[in-house]
Amino acid sequence: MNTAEILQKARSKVWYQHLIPVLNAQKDLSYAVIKGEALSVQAFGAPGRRSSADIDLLVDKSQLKKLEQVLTEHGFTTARLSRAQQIVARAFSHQVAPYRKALPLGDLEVDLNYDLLWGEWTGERLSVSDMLARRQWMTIYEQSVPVLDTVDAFVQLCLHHYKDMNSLYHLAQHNSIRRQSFLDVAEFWKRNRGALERQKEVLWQQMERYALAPYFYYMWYWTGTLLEVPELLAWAQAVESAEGRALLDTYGLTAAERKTWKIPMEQRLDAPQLPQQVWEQLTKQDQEKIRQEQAIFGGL
Amino acid sequence: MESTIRNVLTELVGEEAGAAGKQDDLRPLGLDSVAFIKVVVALEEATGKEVDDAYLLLDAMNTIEKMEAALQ
Repeated sequence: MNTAEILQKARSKVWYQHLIPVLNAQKDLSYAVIKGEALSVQAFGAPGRRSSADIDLLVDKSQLKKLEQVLTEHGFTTARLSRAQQIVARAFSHQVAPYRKALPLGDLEVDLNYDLLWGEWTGERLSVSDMLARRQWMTIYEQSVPVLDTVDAFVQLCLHHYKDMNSLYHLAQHNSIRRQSFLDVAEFWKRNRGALERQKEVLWQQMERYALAPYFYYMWYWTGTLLEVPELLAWAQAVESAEGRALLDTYGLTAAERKTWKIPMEQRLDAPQLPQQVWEQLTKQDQEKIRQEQAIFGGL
Repeated sequence: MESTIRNVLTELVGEEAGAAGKQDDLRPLGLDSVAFIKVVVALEEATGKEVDDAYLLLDAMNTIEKMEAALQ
């Protein structure tokens, strides 16, 4: 472990020991930690094994105000948003503006997520409250931390990384098509393969009910191909469809905004010039939407 | 309320949206994400009411009838 990794782990430990007791003291607040250290444990076996810059919480939308109130009461601050910005955040995103607090070793940023699907999604939405009812507990930095169960965490991971890799907002600012993201999926799948195989029917039912198979196909196909995981490619083949195949070489989260890549996946992966290429391909309306989202999530 | 909604839609989305049936989907008539934000802000200003978070989704306010419900 190098110096940066040691520092990050120390900082993360301070964050968890500060935040988790505050949240766990709220007996009527149901939440789960997603991504970050929870993913590090679930996919790589221990905290601190992947880069993490914040703590992401998942709550049901009905408990969002309660959680914001708790954070405010404990010294966290967030940006003041205009009403138009609040509407953008609520209507077209899966999260609100981050909450921050200065702590030793570095500021803690807490992202509040209330949906696993992107804001533009028009189909039925996965029930966050059902997922939180199935949550499990794990120990991270001596804290008892609620996390999603294995199937739900895998669903969250695949959908999150698909969203990041296909969101115009992300792609126009930084290259979110990263080998690390495919590695997260591959390692999670390998480490939890037994549990996922046993609950395959549950996963398949979720994909069918919420029409999610094309997005899983995209993640499993590219993960299996790029990282040479034949078993995951077999899973991809099991959910293959024309819709899923069409996603492989496009980006954008809705049919209306979707665009075709002019370069193969191997040239998109971690390519620094990708945001510029994407920006030049966007319509004026796409660019306006990105500017509005930047005002909330990026420019504050 | 309905006339307020129709006036706002006519001004911000277009005459076709303002004259739409109460249950017509306004998205094909020009209610995209940017227009949606402008419409909600304008409706809140015109009525003095704040739309609850539960309605702040394009498919929860994509018809005049749904907009009326969101502003009750």
